[in-house]
Amino acid sequence: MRLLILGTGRMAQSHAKAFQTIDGVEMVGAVDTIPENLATFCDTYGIANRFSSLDDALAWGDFDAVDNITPDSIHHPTTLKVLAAGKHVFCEKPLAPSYGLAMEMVEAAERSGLINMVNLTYRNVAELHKAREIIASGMIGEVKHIEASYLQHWLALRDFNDAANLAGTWLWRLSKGHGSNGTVGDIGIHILDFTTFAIGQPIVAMNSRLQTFQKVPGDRIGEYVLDANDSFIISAEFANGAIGTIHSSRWASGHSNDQRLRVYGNKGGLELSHGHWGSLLRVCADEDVATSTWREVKAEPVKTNYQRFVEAVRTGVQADPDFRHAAELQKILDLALVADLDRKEYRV
Amino acid sequence: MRMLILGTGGMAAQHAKHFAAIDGVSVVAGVDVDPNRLEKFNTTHNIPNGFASLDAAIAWGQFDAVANVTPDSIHHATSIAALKAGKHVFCEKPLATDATKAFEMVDVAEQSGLINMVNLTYRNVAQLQKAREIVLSGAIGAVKHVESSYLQSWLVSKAWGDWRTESQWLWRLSKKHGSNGVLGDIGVHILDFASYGSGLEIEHVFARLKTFDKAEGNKIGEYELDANDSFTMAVDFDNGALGVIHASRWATGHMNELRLRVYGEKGGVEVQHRHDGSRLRVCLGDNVESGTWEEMEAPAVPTNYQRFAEAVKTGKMQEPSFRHAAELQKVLDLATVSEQQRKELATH
Repeated sequence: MRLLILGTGRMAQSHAKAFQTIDGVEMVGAVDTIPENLATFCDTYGIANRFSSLDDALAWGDFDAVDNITPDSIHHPTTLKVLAAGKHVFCEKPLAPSYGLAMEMVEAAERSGLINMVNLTYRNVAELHKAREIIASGMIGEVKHIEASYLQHWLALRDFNDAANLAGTWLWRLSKGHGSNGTVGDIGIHILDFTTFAIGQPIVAMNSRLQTFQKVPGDRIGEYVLDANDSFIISAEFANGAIGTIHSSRWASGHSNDQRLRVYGNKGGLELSHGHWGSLLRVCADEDVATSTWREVKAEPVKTNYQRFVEAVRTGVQADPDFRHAAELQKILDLALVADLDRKEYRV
Repeated sequence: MRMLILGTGGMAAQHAKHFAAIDGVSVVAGVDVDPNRLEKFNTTHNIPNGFASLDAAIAWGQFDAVANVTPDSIHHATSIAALKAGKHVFCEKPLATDATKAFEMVDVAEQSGLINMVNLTYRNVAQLQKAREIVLSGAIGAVKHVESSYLQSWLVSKAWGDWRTESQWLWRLSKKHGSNGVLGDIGVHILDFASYGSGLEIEHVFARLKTFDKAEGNKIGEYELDANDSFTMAVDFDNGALGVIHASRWATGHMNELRLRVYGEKGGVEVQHRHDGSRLRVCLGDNVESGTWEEMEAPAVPTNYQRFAEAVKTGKMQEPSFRHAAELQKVLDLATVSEQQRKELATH
């Protein structure tokens, strides 16, 4: 597969490193509007063809698939162009800034018959797949009660007060005017996917609360108005009637980047934690229920999203997570912003 | 202090034992409408006087304080009668069956100037008290995010008996038998655990309650199984922090477990209280940068029984007061309304 890297910013590094190791994949071109970034990136990964615009790359056209790592708001127009040109697309999350735009991408992708996938990175966590497998097998029975959290602590770190670091990496994430939907937009889709993928149930009704805490007097640093949400809670009902809470914060001191999922069914329970330290999957089922004994379950490694995209292009068989799945999650995120305004439950 | 035990059923044995063990406290009488139960109770606990009614005991009058261990719906009438007779009252939770009745009790208690306390038993957990002390000391800074759960599994596990056949469990599943489900049974405990531990008051609440199908026609004999099994609450607190508070009787793998996670701008505390022990973990100071958690010892704390005896001796009120329990009852009442209206409600 001949792959074009579209956007050579920070995330592009991990994409390139991953694709580099996959047999049969050749990174043949890259696109960026900033010439220095493009040159450094292409030199690092040995990429021969360099373009300052997607249009130029499409005019050249000697590639099969595009890895779209542009800023969030650019995913939509670029992906539509790529699909129209008959190229498969592997797109960074979030698919688009809104459900409406995301669905336009879904429709274009499905009409085209091309492979379309979204890089929900936690699908690379083996224990998440194992959790899904255990729940789908019926081992914990019908799911009744769920709690899921995605906790980060970077607003509580000293580092956050380091001006250079702040401006370069973090500040835009706190500001709506700079394209951020805060925690909801940044990591909301990850914990929604983490939860719904594991339990195999979509959300059918939900309410949400968002909160933006004061971080500096006047809530403003230079050109950045600090108005994007820091924390959210989604109260959810799932298709089978289970209820649960999905929540997140950037203020969770002590948790640098931790996901935790707790799922309880009428035959057993399952708890999954994941962080930079690794993953832990524990199950209480069968004869352990009477004594509330939990046992760790090991998981075999799984293929990464990168590997599965390559395989999908090779075999022509679509793999998950596809555009449609990401769009369905985007719908929940859009509703989270609305529900916080009028403080009531919405059907999805 | 001369103590009267009002109601000699289930929980009364705990009260008799704990009060009898306190220096300067003697349990002088028991009251119950069932003469056999009363006699057995008085014999077991060496209590010299027995009465068939509270009125008869008050007419006798040789006691200073009442431990009110009557059924929930009787707390209101009996506590008011005891207070009007000039007796201090230590009342089992919940204070009353709704907030209106609870505040009537508050009014009578506060006008009387007598000691009034509610037995929120988890105040006896040293790790909770220590967590609160840390939070109030400012060591974790302003609290931003809270998660608290009370997890039981007796609808799945038979460790506590079989709810399908035992009346001691069946009534808890049936509104007509006086149960408000998991919300009424343990809701006050986890609301107190979350708000006391985090040192915050709840301002708004959105709640979902759920009653899952449990038997054919959701009926076993005379018991209609219509009381809630699980709830989730999304709240905000008086300082703007968001919180998740939830409970379930379906939480397989957790016999009777209370958890609290409190995250502030300078650190975090996590409390876990189980049937087999309690833990307090903290992430404070420099550990915040590395996300390192340490276990912290918590010195034993006086029990509610001891603090009530102390309050009566010194004439100085201690917590949890009737007023505090009534405020929590208000949140529980609102949870039921929120479930019906599917919107968030204000507590004040």
